[in-house]
Amino acid sequence: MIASPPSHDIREAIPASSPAGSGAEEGSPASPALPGAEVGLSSLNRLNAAGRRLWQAESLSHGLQEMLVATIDLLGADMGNVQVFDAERQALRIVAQRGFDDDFIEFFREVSADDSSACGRALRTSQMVVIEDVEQETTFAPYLDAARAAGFRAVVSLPFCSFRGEPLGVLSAHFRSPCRPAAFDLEQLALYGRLAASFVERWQSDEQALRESEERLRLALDTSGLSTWDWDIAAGTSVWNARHYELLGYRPGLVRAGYDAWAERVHPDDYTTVVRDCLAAARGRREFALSYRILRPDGATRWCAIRGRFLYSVEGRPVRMIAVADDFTERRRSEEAQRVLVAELRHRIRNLLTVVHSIALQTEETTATREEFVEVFVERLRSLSRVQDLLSNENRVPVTIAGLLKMEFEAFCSGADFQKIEMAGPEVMLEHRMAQTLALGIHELATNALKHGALAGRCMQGRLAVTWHLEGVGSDRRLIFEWREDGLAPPPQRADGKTHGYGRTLIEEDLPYTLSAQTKFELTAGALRCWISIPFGHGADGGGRA
Amino acid sequence: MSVGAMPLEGRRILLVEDNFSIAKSLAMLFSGYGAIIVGPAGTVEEAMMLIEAESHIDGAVLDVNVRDKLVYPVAEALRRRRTRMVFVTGDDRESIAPEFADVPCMLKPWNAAQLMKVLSACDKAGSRPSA
Repeated sequence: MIASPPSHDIREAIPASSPAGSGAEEGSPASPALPGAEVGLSSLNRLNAAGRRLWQAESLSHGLQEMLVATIDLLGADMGNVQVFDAERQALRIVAQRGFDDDFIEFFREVSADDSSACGRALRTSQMVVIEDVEQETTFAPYLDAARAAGFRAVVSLPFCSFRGEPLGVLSAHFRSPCRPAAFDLEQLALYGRLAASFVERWQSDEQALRESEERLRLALDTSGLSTWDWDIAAGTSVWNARHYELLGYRPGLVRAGYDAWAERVHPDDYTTVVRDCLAAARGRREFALSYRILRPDGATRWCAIRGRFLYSVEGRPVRMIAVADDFTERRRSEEAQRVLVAELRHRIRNLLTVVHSIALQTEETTATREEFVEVFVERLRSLSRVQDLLSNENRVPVTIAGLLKMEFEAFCSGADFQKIEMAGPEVMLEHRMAQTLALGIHELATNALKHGALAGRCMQGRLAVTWHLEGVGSDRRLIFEWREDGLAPPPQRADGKTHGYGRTLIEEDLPYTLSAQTKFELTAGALRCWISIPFGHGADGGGRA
Repeated sequence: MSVGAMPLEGRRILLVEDNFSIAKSLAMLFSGYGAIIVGPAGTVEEAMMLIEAESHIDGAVLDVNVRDKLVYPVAEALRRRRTRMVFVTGDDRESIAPEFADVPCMLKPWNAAQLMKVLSACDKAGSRPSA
């Protein structure tokens, strides 16, 4: 519970009956002499001195030991003990003692609050219990053997309570001979009880606060995912939290936390820098913040950022280092993914501008008036925008030929138009560039069909069939796409004298150039047939996935 | 800077550009200034074949990224022949390989006047082989 580093003074001052019972296990003497317990001071001076030492106590049992020594001294007793009340267990526990052997301590280690012993009665009644001679006291009969073995005949038990009246513990003094302490001494003893009570109360509230504070800190650290590392350089020991073992790829308990275990897991390429920077911080008495890679035995690399500081001896030597480490591997990964994404996005935007540029050039070439330019250009941009929507989802929903066709038809056609359309072909996924180029081609074909061809309102007999399939294997594989309109009215002559527009140029010149496609475009009486064959093998330019 | 009516009169200009409309537009632009167009080539392989076949090329406009391949082998071959060239790229200037940092570079979409200016400048700087 106590976070301060161990010092010899404290360990020497704590007697055998520490709460953990370590003294008993080690078999150390039951009642070591305490500094400051001089005999011969006046009782008030003793009380004063005990009170002063109490406020310097390093532990609960240490403080109560001071009170016990002062009490034994006051009453001229031979031995004694202090018990504290454990409300949860409804029991008294010995936390300080003097003059008893291990058997007695074992026997009275924990006394129920219902017990009829002197201390049990004192606790229950909140009254001081004085037994002048245990041999004469009938109520004491169950404990007589223990008393004989311990060698006492008389006992005084003083309960002490909190300000709210809750029992805190019992202070007992024992005498080898039957005796009744003087009334004046017992009055003074009540003062000692008061002092012990306020000490225990303060200690417990401090301890509670410390527990809560530690719990908060632990929870915060757990939630933050931070590793902690406390390295006692002088002693050569380290304390890591579970997260730090995990970060380094160790299982807690299977390795000794320490410099060597840490050094073994630091990436060899980072080790020298880390050590150099740490040493510089230690010399410069600065806090340090640095990041390095952890290389786990399975080859996994983790990135961690550590912040820490050194603590120094009075001579200025670094004797301890405290650091927290943050595993930022995931954050680094997502930053990297974002960087790639932004680069890809920038590339696509540039590419898109190039396509817009090219559409503007072509539209300018194939339109006669400014109005026509604007109308056609905007329609083409809208088609381009639709295909961008499909492409922006391509990680979730791959772009397919059927998808491109539906997208274009849904943008222009009514229910009646759909009656004229037939589509058939396997699912063929298209990569980015091919999807974009093919979408523009489909847009031109569909626009033409709506204005002059099978989908035009006046063309009652019009039918449109779009079919596609893959042919060949390996690098010779090709995508065959056919667009066929039947039942057409004779094509009207264009007023501007241009025999065919961008659509046909795109299919007959652009696709062969851009996708190395072979194309045929035939317009005969009553029928339009457009046949496109695109290299679709692995490694072919613009190759897709099927 | 004033540009004469036929600033590229008789010059043989190689065009490498994978976008059909842009290639066509560049070809028309340079033809209009008197140039003889070599290409245009839509792939790196096609461009290499053209260089091999043409003993005489005065200048080149190279799209850096041609059907997802980099145009550098073409640039390398032209450099060996001491042919002047201009890069056109959809990415930024920083994406150009450092060994070609000295090659003038235009960002897409290009502007005709600016492209002419860059091309004429390197035409003047370059040694003009006697026909």
